[in-house]
Amino acid sequence: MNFWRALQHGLSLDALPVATQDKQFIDEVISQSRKHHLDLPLLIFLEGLRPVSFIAASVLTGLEPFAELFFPQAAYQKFTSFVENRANLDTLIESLKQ
Amino acid sequence: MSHDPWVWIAAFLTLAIFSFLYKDNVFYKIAEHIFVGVSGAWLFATYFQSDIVEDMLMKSFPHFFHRTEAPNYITLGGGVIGLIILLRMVPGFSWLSRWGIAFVIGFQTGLQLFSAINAYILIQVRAALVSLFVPRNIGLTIRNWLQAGGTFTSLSYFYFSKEHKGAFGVLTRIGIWFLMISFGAAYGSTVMTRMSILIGRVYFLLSTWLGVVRA
Repeated sequence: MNFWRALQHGLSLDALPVATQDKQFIDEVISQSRKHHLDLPLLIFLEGLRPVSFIAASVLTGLEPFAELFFPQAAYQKFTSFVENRANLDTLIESLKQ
Repeated sequence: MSHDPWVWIAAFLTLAIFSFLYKDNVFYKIAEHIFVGVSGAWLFATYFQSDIVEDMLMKSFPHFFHRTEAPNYITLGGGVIGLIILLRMVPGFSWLSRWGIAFVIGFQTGLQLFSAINAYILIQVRAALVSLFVPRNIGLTIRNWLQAGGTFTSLSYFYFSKEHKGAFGVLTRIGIWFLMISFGAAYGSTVMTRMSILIGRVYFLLSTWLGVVRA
């Protein structure tokens, strides 16, 4: 990937589609949130996280060598890519609002 | 209006971040990528200077830095552990990096254990143990009842070994009210902090950049 293509990719405004496993994760988060009546605090947290999702994902990537000691690597990377894609958070927020 | 190019860059980045309020756009993406890159570079430069140069190299080889103190080679141990952590990029030796990380985490845990227990557990427990009847002070008595009741009911909400039904269910329902009020207070505090930051940035734009408001 040359520099200009990488730049285009980095600055692209096209939202990536929500993957199937991410949809399952979203459903799981919503069911747990409903079970514990934590919809509102979670919604507030997610609305606050939404604009900085890319930065949060970058921080998670930076912490990966240490996080790997406590969490399985594949699950951690999946969670990082989940946070990085703003469309996932949008879907989660919209589902919580319903 | 400012003639300093750095002020113009800061103003552009501030406006680029604010543009997200309208919708996601290229300027916001540029600003957040710059933020991540600059933060990473700043952290690297700061830790390189303070930890590797000042704490390790200057202490181990002071004569190279025109210093007169005696060499302290023990600081090289930190560098060795750092190199062991970097071995995760060498296939076949990547498992060794866990030893380095385990040492760092174990060391930090040991250092932080006492202060963390003191700050997060003992002080909290001590603050929760209040007298439920304060003679000739009805206000403080009510406050202490609220505090003790809030602590007990909030904790009972997180007790999942018993089904939240009946009298216990009522208790946990009161607990969630206390939790919601504390979440609301925390959120309000966060909003006020953000408002203060917003005022700072608007003041920067109007004063330092445009010069329409006098400092």
